[in-house]
Amino acid sequence: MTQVPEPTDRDAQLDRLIESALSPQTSGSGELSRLEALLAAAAAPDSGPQPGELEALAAYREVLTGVPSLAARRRRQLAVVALASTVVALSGGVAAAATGSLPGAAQSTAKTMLGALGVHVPGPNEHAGTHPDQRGKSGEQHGKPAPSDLPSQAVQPTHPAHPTTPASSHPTPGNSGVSRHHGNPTPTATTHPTPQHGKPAAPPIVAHQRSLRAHPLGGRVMHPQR
Amino acid sequence: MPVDAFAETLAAAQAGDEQAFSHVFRALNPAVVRYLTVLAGHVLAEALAAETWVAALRTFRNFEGDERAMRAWLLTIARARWVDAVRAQTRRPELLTDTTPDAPAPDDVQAQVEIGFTTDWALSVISALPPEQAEVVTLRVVGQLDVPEVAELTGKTANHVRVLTHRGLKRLAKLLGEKVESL
Repeated sequence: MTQVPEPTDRDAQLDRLIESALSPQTSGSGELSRLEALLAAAAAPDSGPQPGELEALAAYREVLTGVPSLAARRRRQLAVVALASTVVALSGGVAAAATGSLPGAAQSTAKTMLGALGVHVPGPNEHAGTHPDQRGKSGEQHGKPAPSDLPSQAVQPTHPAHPTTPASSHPTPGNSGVSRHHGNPTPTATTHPTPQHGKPAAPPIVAHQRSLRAHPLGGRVMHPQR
Repeated sequence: MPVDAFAETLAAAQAGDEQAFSHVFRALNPAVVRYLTVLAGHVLAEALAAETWVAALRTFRNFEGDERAMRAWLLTIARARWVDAVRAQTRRPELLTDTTPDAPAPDDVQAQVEIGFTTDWALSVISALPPEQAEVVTLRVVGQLDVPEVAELTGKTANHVRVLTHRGLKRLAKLLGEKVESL
């Protein structure tokens, strides 16, 4: 706290001077009339519209009535959109990582990062069988029995249109999920090795169209009437 | 504004009455802008005043006191905003200029005395004082604060405030061609 000494006569004179300058009745009438007039002009009342009044009112509305200003609303909308975009992007990335759909390096990074958080994510070579790092040479597999032919390995059908057909008898040349791994012959395709290092000999749509033709409804999908 | 009228207007403004807030703003903003004009110049004064009100509005609803106390409160916030601006300015690269701040020449003063003083001109004359004197004179005259209030706001002793006020007014009187012996 500032200690206030007793005012002197000179202080009292200054106080009188300032008070006189600020009073419309006495301003400019004293011994120092010009100084008083100057001080009066500096402190002249101005009750008209002020610069910055609209901005102050907007801030007042936002703080006291809870109604945000237009600029604040825009800022919030932008923030919400940015947040939503981030959430969607992160969710998509996590979902892709969880299904092992990311490219190899990204999948590896996702496995490391999400693994630290306790989320199980398959690694980039999870579906690569016993040859995760070898480039495929389907020609080497000529004449060898396909793993799917072994009785101990059950192979899931690759297309729901043939639920009872063994996959090994209909090798799917398309992307069945297990045939993407850099040329390694897929278990379902080993009886008919592809000559192009794992690339499908025919586009996958052919097999699909066949299956549609074989459909009892002739490839037309009937929707139940509502 | 009369004391009772200000108390009623302030209470209404704190309750959410925009018109009442406008009255409070118009009553107090000129002192804030003029004080900041003397401290920081015309260019920065309005922006700093806007920042002052935004900062004040955060606790405006809880303010208790009369018009004088509120003016002192706003001027305190204004000074803090100015100090922040000065600190920010010192962190930026220095802007060199070949112009010096305008100080009124004696001829200008005589001409202005005949025309009459305007607020802007009066502020420009006060701004030409040494900064500490200019601030103290402005707070005492424009802010209508007494010596202890100015001392508290500026962090100076009351004696220092008195000395600065006296020197500032004496310098102004001399500049205006007054008899300084009477001060």
